[in-house]
Amino acid sequence: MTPIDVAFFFFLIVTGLAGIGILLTRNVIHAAMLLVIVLLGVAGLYVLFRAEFAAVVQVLIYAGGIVVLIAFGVMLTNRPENGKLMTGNHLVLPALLVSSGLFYYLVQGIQLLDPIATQQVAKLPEDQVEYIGAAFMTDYIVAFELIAFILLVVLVGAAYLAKHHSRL
Amino acid sequence: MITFLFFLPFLLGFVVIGVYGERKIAAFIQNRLGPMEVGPKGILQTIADLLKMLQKEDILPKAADGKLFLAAPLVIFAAVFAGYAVLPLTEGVAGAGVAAGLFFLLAIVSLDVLGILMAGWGSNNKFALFGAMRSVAQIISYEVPLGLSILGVVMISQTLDLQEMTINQGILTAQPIYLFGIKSLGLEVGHIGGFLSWNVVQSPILIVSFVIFFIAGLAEANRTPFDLPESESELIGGYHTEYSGFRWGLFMLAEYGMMLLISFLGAILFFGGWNTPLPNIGTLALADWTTGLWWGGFWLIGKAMVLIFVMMWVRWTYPRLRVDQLMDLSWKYLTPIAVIVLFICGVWRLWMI
Repeated sequence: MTPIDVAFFFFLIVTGLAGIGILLTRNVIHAAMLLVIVLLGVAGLYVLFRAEFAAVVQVLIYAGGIVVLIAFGVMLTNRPENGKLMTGNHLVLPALLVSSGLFYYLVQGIQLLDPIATQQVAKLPEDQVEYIGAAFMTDYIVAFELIAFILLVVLVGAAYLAKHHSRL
Repeated sequence: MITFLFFLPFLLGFVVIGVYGERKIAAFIQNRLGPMEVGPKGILQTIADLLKMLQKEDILPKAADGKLFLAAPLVIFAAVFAGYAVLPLTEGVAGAGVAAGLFFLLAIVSLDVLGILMAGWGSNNKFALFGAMRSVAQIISYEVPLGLSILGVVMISQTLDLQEMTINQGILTAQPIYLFGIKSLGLEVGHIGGFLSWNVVQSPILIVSFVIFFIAGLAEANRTPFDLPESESELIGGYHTEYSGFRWGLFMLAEYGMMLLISFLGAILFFGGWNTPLPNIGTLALADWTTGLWWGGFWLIGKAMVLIFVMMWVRWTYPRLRVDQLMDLSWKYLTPIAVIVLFICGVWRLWMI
């Protein structure tokens, strides 16, 4: 086992355990905090697969942004009478079916893409930031602009919803 | 490894000296003496306070959410301290060699928001929750101008690696550096070095960027005039109301750590990092003489200390902002100015350099 392998299994086990923890815990805030551990573990895996930039984005957007949003949402909702926000597990069987189906196709897809992906990774340049930046502005410009446009729409919509409406 | 071997002991030492320094500076500004009793001129006052703090009982409130409450200080300190991993200390000592170093720093430091939320929620106390809410809202809002002001620097220096950025601000650079970054002047100052090659002089627009960075940095560190999260007079102590002993100490450590990190970052991004401020003047090669392994550390820490002093000075000069003024400042003033500066930086990079 090389140190990379040790790190890989460490992140894998941490991510897995935290993921199971999300399912088992009844406390919403605990679930949100465990989600952070999952996301950080995945970021660690990205680093091991030489995708530093993706890892940093993962930490910034998901762990630093989305989870804070979730936690904020939970904290701003009124606490029920008994004082604790609890969740339960509903629709266990359909969820199991859907997730195992997704898992099956994910495994299939990874096996299909594995040879191509390995070649692609070998071709990656050292300076990922520059490479990603150039790719966004050339090969993926349409997707990039579309996402930018959608985000702008969302921002304007959020500002409109948050505006204090005078009664008409 | 440099992070653990140098920055951790340095941070601990800095907090002890920093607290004493802050009290003395506060005393000077308010025209009083400050700590005078313990040791000569009160030098040992912080040590005494530290010993007292370490002996305190580690209280866990009965109604608190135990896991979150106990883990929160560790999360906050770990998040702030992880930022130190990418700081270059001197010439050969670069910290972690992450290509996206600066980006990593911003991302990992923003995680301390989670620790604050955990502390505020876990304490099960309204003052703590109010403090945490205010703090998180403030930190998230000020991350926008902070990020935009840093982005301007990144655009000018064309790298996210802090070590490379530092090298390009001194006599060791391989690129030509023009005076004020204007190529058409034809004055190449790369061999002169000193303050002439710092980013703020290389492209003077970054002075505006630095002001935005500094204000946003103060807010990120929850320092006065942005200390609403812990405003003693209205919220008792904000999110660390319920903490005692060493866990409270960790909050203090994280606050001073954040101050120091912002100062280091400001020094590296705008004021040449470990590069000497003294230029070569003809045969008087001051820059060559004052560049080296030990000099580098001295200059970087010296610059950071000056910025720390300014932070303390600001703290004892300005009153605290109101919540709405705080948000106004971030969204209505700093963010638009930062966007405009960012645009000018891009144009500057294209046409001038």
